Amino acid sequence: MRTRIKEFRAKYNLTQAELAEKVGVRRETIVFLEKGKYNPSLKLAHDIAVALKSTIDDLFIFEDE
Amino acid sequence: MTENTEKTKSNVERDYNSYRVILWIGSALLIVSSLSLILWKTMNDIIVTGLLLGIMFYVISFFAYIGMGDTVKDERLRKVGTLAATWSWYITLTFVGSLVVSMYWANRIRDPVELMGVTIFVMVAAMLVANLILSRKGDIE
Repeated sequence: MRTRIKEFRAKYNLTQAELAEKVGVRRETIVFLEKGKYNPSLKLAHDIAVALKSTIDDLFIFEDE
Repeated sequence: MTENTEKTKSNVERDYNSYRVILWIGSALLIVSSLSLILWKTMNDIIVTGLLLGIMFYVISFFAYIGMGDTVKDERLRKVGTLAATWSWYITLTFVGSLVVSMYWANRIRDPVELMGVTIFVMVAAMLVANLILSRKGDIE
């Protein structure tokens, strides 16, 4: 899985810590998400999409492994 | 996002740190007390107080640690806590099984106080090590 969280975060000038606080997780979770090393729940994916004024489809790109 | 979620967001880091401190103090007390039981094979007021305080700290923070309380909202931490606690249970059970075998069939009789110390030590150490390993991984499933 790839994510475009970093790209959207930069667009809205948010740090990892700020995004983490907005969605109620720790910064480490955002780090793992940006690296594509953590598959979030639908709820967290939705919260991040809302925080970054985007959609889940735009943020998370699933590729065949 | 709900109002409740909004309210808890800014407190995530503070809440996480406060329960983590309680859990670390509890772990330190249990490790030191259980090692004392193993080494000296006897109980005294200080060791028993340390054990009871450690257990109390664990009881207070355990459900927050495995994500059943309202304290930790981070889903990844909840998974780490739950899996570390499960591994600790599994390792302790296996260890107790091996103790039963060694005591009954190999006839290696151990002091009950030492046994209690060893069991508590294995349980707490297994949870801490599992927690450390899992928290460094992204996906833990």
